[in-house]
This record gives sequence, structure tokens and C-alpha cells, in this order.
Amino acid sequence: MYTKPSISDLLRAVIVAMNREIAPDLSSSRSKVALLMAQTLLQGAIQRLQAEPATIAAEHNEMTALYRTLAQTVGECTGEAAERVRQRSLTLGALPDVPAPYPASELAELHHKLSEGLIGTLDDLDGMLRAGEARAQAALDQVRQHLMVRTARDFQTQMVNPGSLVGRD
Amino acid sequence: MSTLEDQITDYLKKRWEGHDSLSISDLKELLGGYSKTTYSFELNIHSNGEKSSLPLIFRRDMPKVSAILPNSRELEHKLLNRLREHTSVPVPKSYFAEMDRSIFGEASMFIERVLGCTEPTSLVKSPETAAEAESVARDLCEKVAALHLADVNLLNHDHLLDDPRQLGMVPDTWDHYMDGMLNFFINNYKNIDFDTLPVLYDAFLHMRRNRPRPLPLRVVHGELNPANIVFKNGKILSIVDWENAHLGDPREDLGWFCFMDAASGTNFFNRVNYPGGFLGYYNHLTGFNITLEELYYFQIFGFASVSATPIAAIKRRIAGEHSELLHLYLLQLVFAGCMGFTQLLGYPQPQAAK
Repeated sequence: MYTKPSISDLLRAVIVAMNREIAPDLSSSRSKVALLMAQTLLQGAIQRLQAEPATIAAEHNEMTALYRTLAQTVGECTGEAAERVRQRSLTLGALPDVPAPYPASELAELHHKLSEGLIGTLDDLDGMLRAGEARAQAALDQVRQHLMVRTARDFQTQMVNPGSLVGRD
Repeated sequence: MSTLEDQITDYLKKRWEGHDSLSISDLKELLGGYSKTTYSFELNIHSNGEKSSLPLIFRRDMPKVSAILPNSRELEHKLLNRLREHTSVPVPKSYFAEMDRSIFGEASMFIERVLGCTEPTSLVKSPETAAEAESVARDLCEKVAALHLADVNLLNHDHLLDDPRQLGMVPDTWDHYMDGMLNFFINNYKNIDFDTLPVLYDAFLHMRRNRPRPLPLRVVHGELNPANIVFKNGKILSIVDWENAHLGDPREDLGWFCFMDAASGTNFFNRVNYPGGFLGYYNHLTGFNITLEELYYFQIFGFASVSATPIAAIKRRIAGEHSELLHLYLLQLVFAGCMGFTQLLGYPQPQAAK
């Protein structure tokens, strides 16, 4: 999968384009306000993208701990409500912690490093093929099989309206 | 600060010969051309008591940092007029090329605006236009064949088109040309890798290992695609946007056209009613006998050639050197190109999990 530009990079580009390409042509107050709202939502999406995975995991684990703590705090209080609090510590509070997700930017860097290794690998296999080493073809096929899967995945997830070019239809 | 309309009017008043007074009207930006800023307008001329009007195009370079096809307006100006003089290929007349960037901000040119349809997808939206689509495809095929049969000595007597993109080409033979281009693709990878692009890199190496047979080098359009034609009533009135023309292998034009024809959804390549379709008819006209395998090779070659500078501009965009939205939109073509390459190179399908 392509890791550059990131989703945040793309959203930032749209915000910039709204200012450069769209804002100057807007005439009504309503459209200008709508544009500012849209930019605010996009900026919010950027901030959420960066924070969401780690925050959700952390809050998941904080909540399970909270249910367990609450059961201890109500202790041996009587009544149906106290019983429900204790029960939640045994159900929701017993859920295992989820691992902290790998930070997206670090994961992208690791992915990029491995992908860069494929360029060197292609160079090496090309050199072997040109030197007459036929077995390199099988290795090249294995690389290509991997690339086939990820290219199809990229096409599926990133292409919008294949067979169409904006402004030329 | 003067408006573009004032700048154009002042410029043409000084350059246009044989008028008593001159004005312009209906200046408007045209969309769809990705590589240059393009405006249409009417030039209104008063001369000897007579009024006349001429439809013109003003075509201006993009700033260097965001230019997706940096090239010379002067070269395009000269080539257009040579094509008109020496070939039957219909192209717009070019009036002026202005290379002084202080005049319009970037190098610019004034060319004839050929009046016709510039939306080829309009031909493929309904079965009622199928016959016209076939006629346009056939006529285009004839015009492309005429270009590729044109006398190189007449069009390139001064070697203007040997290396207009300044890639270091020395096209004195087909082998030298291919050596230069294939090495350029591989060495230029470092300028286009906005992310790791192993499919493109593999394709470049594949082309170097699997050269096709030679063909005579000819003047090629260099960016022949359905968006670069003007047509009317089933006939090609003009082929436009010659900015990427150079001395090259004629199969480059067919390969890139075939790729963009599919990307644009026009499917002209399969519309010519002749054995073998567009390619069969082209072979009949030129005698080049290009095979499907060669066409596949030059689809990759054409993509590599045309996309080299645009993808470098995309990389500069992602690196923050400029902030044009277009370049990120053009990533769509990179995704499509990589997917196409996997098919053209015969990538093995993944094996089912055991």
C-alpha cells in the first residue's frame, strides 16, 4: 500500500485547495460559511486520524480498569444497583487489555523500509537475469506475485471512477 | 496591475500586423488541459473599415516547480507550423511564441482555436454516436499514420526535436535512442519515487531486458491521447498539444494512446472497423506491422516517457515544494498505470491459500 502521501497529507491538500481554488470564486455569505465549516471538519478529521487508534485502545483499557475499581469501591454495599456495579467488574472489567496500536507514522516508516528493499531486490534479480542466471526468474515471479496482490489492493482502495478524468469528460 | 486581458491586448496590438485597431473579447480559461494554463478568446480586428474576428488560444506554462511537462513554447510554435507546411496532419496555426517570462509571467504562445468538439467521451455515451466514434477513430488513425510517415528531414532538419526534453538523448540511431531512454527511466527513478514504486521500477528493468525490434525513428506527438483531438462530423479537425513532441519510436504514440484511451473510457482503439482494429489499420497504412506484444511494450514505454516529469512534479508536491491539488489528483493515473503494468508484464496471479 502507498504510505505517501498520507491520508492527513491528502486532507490538508484539500483544505489548501479550498482556499486557493474555491474561496476566491464564492460570492454568497452562505457558501463562504459552508466552506469554512467544511475546512474545519477536514481539520478535525486530520486531528482525529492521528489520535484515534491509540486513544481508543487506551480508553478501552482505562474503562476495564475503572469497572474493576468501581467494584472495589462499592465494596459490600447492598442493593440491586451495587450488585450491578459488581457484576460489571466481572464482565466488562474482566475483558483483556487490548495492545497499544503501532503508531501509524512508525508503521509506515517500517513498511517503507521493506518496500525500498524490493527496489534493491529487483536490481539484483535484473542483474542475475542479464548474466544468464535463469533461476532468478522464479524469484522475480515471487516478487511480482507479491506486487500483484498489493497493486490490486491499491487499485481497489485508492482509485475513484476508473475510466474517467475530471475536466475531460 | 493590468489584467491578463489587458496584457494580451497590448501584446497583440504590438505584434499583429495589418490592423487599424484591435481588441479581444470572451476571454475564458479552458479546463481539461493539465499541463498548461489555457484561455480561449476572440481577436477582433478592424482593418481598412472591415471588421473580422479570429478565435484564438492563449497557452501559458505553469511555474517551473509545479510544471508537469516542462518544455518549450518556441519549439511547439515552430513544430506546429512545420507540420502545417510539410504534412497532412491537421494542427492549429501558431501565431506567436513568447519566451520572455516577464511579459505574461511564464513562457506563452498564441495559436489558432479550431472550432469543433473537444470532448471525445461525448461520442461514447450513446449507441447513436457509435458510427461517428468509428469514423473519428479511423480518421485519427490515418492522421497518426501520416505523422509517422512524414519526412523527418523536413520536420527536424535543424535537430530541434532530437532532445527537446533535454534528457540527454542522441537519437542518431534507434539503438542509441532506446539506450538513452531506458537508462533515463532507470536513472530518473530517484526523481519520481514519491513513495516506493516497485512496479514501475520493475517495468523499467523489464524494458531494458526485452527490447523489441527496431523501427525507423520518426517525429512523434509524444502525448497522443483522446483529449488532444478536435473533431466534427466524424472527422479530425485538429490534433493539439504538441508540447511533448520529439524524435522517437512511432510505437510510443500508439502505446500511450492505447493506455489513455482505456483510462479515458473512449475505447477508440477497438472502434476502427478493419481487421485488427486501429492497430491493424495503422499497420496497413504504414507497413510497420506492429504486433500486440510490441504494443504492450510501448504502452509501458509510453507511460514511462510521458509520466516521467509529471510524477517528478507529484513528488515535489508531496515534498511540499508547491501546493497544487492537480498533482495529487494525478496519483489516480499512477495507480491505474501500476495496475496496467502488472497485466502488461504478465504478473502471476496469487496462488490460492492451501
